[in-house]
Amino acid sequence: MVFDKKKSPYLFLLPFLIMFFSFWLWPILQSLYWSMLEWDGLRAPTFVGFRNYIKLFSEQDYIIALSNTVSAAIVYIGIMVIVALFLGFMLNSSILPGRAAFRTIIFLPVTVSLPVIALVFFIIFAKNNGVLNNIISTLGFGRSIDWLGDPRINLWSIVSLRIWRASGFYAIFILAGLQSIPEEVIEASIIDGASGWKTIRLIVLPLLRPVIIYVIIASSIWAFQLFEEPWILTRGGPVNSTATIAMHVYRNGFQFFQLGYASASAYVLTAIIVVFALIQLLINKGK
Amino acid sequence: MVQNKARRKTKRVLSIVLMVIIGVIMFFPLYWMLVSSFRTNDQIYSTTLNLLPTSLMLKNYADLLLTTKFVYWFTNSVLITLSTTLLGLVLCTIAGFALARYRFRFRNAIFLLIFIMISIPRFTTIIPLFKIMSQLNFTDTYLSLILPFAVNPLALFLMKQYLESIPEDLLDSARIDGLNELQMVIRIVMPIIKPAIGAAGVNIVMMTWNDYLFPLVMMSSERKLVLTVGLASLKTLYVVEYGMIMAGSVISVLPLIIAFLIFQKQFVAGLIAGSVKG
Repeated sequence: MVFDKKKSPYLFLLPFLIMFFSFWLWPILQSLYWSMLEWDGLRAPTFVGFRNYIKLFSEQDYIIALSNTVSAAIVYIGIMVIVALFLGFMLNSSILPGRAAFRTIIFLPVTVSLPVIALVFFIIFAKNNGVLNNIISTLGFGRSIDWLGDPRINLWSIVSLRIWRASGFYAIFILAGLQSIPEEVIEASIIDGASGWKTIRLIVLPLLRPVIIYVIIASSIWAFQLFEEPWILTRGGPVNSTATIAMHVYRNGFQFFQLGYASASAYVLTAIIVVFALIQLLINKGK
Repeated sequence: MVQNKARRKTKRVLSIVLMVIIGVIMFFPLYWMLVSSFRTNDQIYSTTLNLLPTSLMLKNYADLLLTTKFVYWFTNSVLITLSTTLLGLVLCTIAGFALARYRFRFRNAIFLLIFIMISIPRFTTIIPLFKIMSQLNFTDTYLSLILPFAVNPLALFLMKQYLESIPEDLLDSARIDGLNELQMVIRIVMPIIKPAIGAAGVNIVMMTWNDYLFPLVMMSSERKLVLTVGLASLKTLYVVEYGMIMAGSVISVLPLIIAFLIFQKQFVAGLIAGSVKG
């Protein structure tokens, strides 16, 4: 019998594993090897060791992309976590009516794809008579702001749309965390005379720590891969002000056909993500 | 006491006002997408602020369908998402069952390897993956997107977790009834793991439907593009009605938003279990 108890586990795993190996594991390993090649994909590659990595860190454009990616990710995660905490507390607050409807509304943005959100914000952020500038001037603040063109603020405009999209989603995690804290714990501390803010700071936030760490790790994996919004909105410009590492990989890999160099760039990004996640896990374990 | 009560009331009113303001901010971009889809460029970029819907002009929708390849893009996205999800669910269910219910050599090693991959960004694979797909002659075909995304470590993980909770008695009685292992999985197990299928399915659907980078790289001919890539490509045209792009955006978000509104509970539970891109 083919599907007996002995052979079945292997047969069940086989299709998944074959595809997993071909389309995940093998490309990841291959990419590591490619990152040490100088190769345009057509002619024979030459092995250059770590020279691609050294070249990366001496390239001005790459350093800018790296600094944009890291600062955008950190600001995004920081603000998003605070907003999500705030929304989570609101969702958990028994004095608010209509919380179910509120939950639906703040969850909706995450069902919309990043490219579509980028397109919508492209018209909202428009410098000349975009709706945001129109609202600002109607409120009497005069000057129109070049949200996407001004190199001092455009990266933060892009970060803000990510915050808008993700906060409601992560607020649901915070809510789940809050609901798992027994009410007696909170009540007891109030009876003890701790004020509301003190209760939150000293009792609720420490209990929420695992959830917060989870939200930070989960969101960071995507935050560091920032690509869709700057690519669609600004193509990384003006003068690299919104260039990111993912964009660097895409350009070098698929426009300049520097496969080795682009692989090295992708590996640095992966290393950053893994290290960031490990640091978070260690912080969580250490305390 | 009276003062306390009054203070509590003010607090309540303030909280409600705050909630409404946040709700409006969260909803506004989606609202603006819809309103703009009925407007001309001059109305979208009007010198005066006009927040209320002015007309129900359907010209943008007609132009979108008649002058662009939108119908192809939509069909591509639907077919790719459905096939990826179906294939993914079958692969992940049987593989998850193997990892959850049998003891065999290398089981833990295999599981650990797959588990680690959940946190490795997909992005790292894209350059070699493109090469692999072109060697297989799969670029510019659905297969280049379906095959890599049907093997979803996260979905497998969710499946395995759930499948561990099925009572062994149920499986034993199926075996006594003379079913072989495959028949048992198909006839007995699959019908009772709907929550896991829902959770894994939501994650695969969202990842596939909303993806941009992989389809951008893999698909090159205009008729083969998916929705996200096709819509974004409209923005780079010389003369473009932004209302038309918004019309396309509205149609592209409707399937997931409708699904979300109908299956809200399962949707949220599924995404929380998997934590999708955000």
